Amino acid sequence: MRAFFYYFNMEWKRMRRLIPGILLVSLVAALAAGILYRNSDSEETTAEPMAVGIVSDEGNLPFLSMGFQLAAQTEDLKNLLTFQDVGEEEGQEMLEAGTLGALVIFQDNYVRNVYYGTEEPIIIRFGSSQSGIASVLVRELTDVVAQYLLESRSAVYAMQDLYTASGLEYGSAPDELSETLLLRIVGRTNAIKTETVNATDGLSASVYYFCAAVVLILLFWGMISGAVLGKDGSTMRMLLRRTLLSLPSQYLAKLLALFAMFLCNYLVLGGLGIAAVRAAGMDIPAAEVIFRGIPGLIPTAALAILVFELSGDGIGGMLFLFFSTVICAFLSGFFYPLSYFPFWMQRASCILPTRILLEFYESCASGSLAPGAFAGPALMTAILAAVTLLFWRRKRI
Amino acid sequence: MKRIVTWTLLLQKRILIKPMFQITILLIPLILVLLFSFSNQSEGLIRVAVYCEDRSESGELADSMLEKSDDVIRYYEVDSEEQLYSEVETDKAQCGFLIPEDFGEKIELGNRSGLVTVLIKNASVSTRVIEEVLCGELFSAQVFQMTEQFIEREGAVDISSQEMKTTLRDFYAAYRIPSAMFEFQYTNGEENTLLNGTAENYYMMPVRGLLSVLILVAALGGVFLLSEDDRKGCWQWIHRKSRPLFSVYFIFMSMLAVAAVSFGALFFTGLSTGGGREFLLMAAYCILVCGYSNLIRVLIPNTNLICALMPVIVLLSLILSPVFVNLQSLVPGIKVISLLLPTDFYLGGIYSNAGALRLAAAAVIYLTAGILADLLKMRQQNRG
Repeated sequence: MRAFFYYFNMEWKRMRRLIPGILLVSLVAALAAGILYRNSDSEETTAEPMAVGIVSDEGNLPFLSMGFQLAAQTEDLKNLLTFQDVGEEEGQEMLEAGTLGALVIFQDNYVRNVYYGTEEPIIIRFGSSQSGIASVLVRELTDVVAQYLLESRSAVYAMQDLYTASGLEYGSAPDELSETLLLRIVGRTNAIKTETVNATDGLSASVYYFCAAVVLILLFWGMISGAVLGKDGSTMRMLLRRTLLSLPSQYLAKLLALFAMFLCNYLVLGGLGIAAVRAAGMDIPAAEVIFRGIPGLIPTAALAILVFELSGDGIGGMLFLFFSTVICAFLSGFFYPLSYFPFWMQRASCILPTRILLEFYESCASGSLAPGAFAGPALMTAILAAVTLLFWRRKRI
Repeated sequence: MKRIVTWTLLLQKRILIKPMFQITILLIPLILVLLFSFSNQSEGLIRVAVYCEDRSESGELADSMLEKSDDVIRYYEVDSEEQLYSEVETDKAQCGFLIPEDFGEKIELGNRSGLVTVLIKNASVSTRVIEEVLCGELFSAQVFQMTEQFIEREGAVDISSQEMKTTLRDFYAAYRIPSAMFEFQYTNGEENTLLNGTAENYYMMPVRGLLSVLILVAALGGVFLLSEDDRKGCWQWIHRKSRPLFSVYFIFMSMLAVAAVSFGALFFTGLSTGGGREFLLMAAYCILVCGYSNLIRVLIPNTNLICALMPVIVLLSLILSPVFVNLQSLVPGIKVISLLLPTDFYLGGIYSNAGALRLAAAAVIYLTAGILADLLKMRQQNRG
């Protein structure tokens, strides 16, 4: 027992050197995040509408200006988009400079060509040079716009043809029909009735992502631990074995020391996080997640120990832990909803450490801490400990 | 030249000999292949369940929704209302459409409101887009009826007979030939194959960002390794005047293998913009990352603090750079912080000429700043 505490004390002295660095950097990052959140949530500072530049010749301009001004007045769009007429070169410069979020380019005589059915595609050039989910969803919306235009044009042309086939002049009827159809498009959302279903797990998106953030922070602390864990301790372990401190006892001492280091940081930052969430008035049970989630530090510590024992050095272990954390987090639904992935991947994600930890913290948030909630982390810890000990034995320490 | 080659090989051997580093490099193409295989799945990014109470009356709308499935939004039919609710409640579907049995009748009578019920669990941008798609389909279902009613109100043409209605429908069908109305381009005018539907690898979207972050991590790992070596005095014999350049060279060596594998991975997955441009962008990014990491090494001598800083830089790069989502237009202030993140310069320069120039400028600035800071620090140490 004495040897156990002696060794625990040794490991604790090594681990606690990381505390100031972790706390300092985490506090700076949290402060920055808080300022950003406050900045984005402030009533005085709202997200600016995206500026969209319209490039067209003078022939198109009256029609397009009217159309875009009408669109800009609708409830859905007026806080999201603003439109302005620009020349092509000027617009491209503004797009590159970030002044415009997107550039919409109409061919010459576009409106006239629409009338004759010979129009060429409208070019949409985004300012952000990467495509993301948002761009893909915009593409879906442009398909809807194309559908409205196609249906409206077909209806108006069909009416004109019917009048012509009946030997009649259609006069202003096409314009009136166009107006009728346009009014129906503007009031399109009346056609659907939205019903919100009850969530079966009771967690909102903000609580979900809060739990995901906690898990990511813990895993990145594990990555930082490479500065201490990455140093080869096989000689020390050999010496300890000679003093009758068995490998499981050594492992337990190391695990507890790392857990203690995590706990110090966790309590300080967790306390600040709880205060920040309450000050921001967010509907997140931060205190429940933080305090009930303390046992989650143990499997995280076990994972860090195993990774750095296998890697044999701090740098390689850090790289491996970082890359595997990001990939596992991606596949566990941290960045995109899990339902985006194929069903077989959703089922497979339940064995990933990130998913196991996330489900545990979700249980902490929802209050459903039955013994079963601890089963995942406990099993994960047991497996990681067993593999580490097996590795030590094979190294004949 | 021979000396440089020898040094390069020795330093690479020192890094690549570590098993975990080898595994990390090998993981890059394996994970990319895995994500590439995801893109060939037919599950779709967003799933929408559809239930029709009476298929004989309102099956046409359900069929048109099912036909609209693509790799972004996948519509699928369920057998009962209970199953529809269950699919949405358990997140198997983001959204559910309940088409009532009197849908056809409502369309005939010209009803405008509450034609279809949309079930959602959590309102989001995705569900708004899905609602817009549904509104588009409902408009298509209503527009012919509206046209008929308009002609009837005008009274100029007698449309009461079946023959006239059929004639009108034939005219209408003849014009309903869809064509590409929009064409998407990147900032520099190149065709956006992803949005134009000619290349559909949505799961690969964050790959370039992840690779750039990994290169940054490798460089920061090189900083840590160099700091440890300095603590042990491994490179004391290197001439004082050569130390700043040697430090940059050391960091570059530590990330070279990762950068080379990442470069190859971009071509393998079809994300590359083309050989020459891709190489120049990657080279500029590597120089930027070297300079950035070297500057951190000079400014922060404490290795424990560097270790603590690494995950913060990585997290900020993942969140504030457009790796997964572009937050810069939503949250004012992120643009300022992004100036401190190399990945933002890289991702901004892929399809933008101005962005590429910014990347090159940032590379020169950070590299020069790091070397000058190192020289200044050495001078102060010598005076002390």
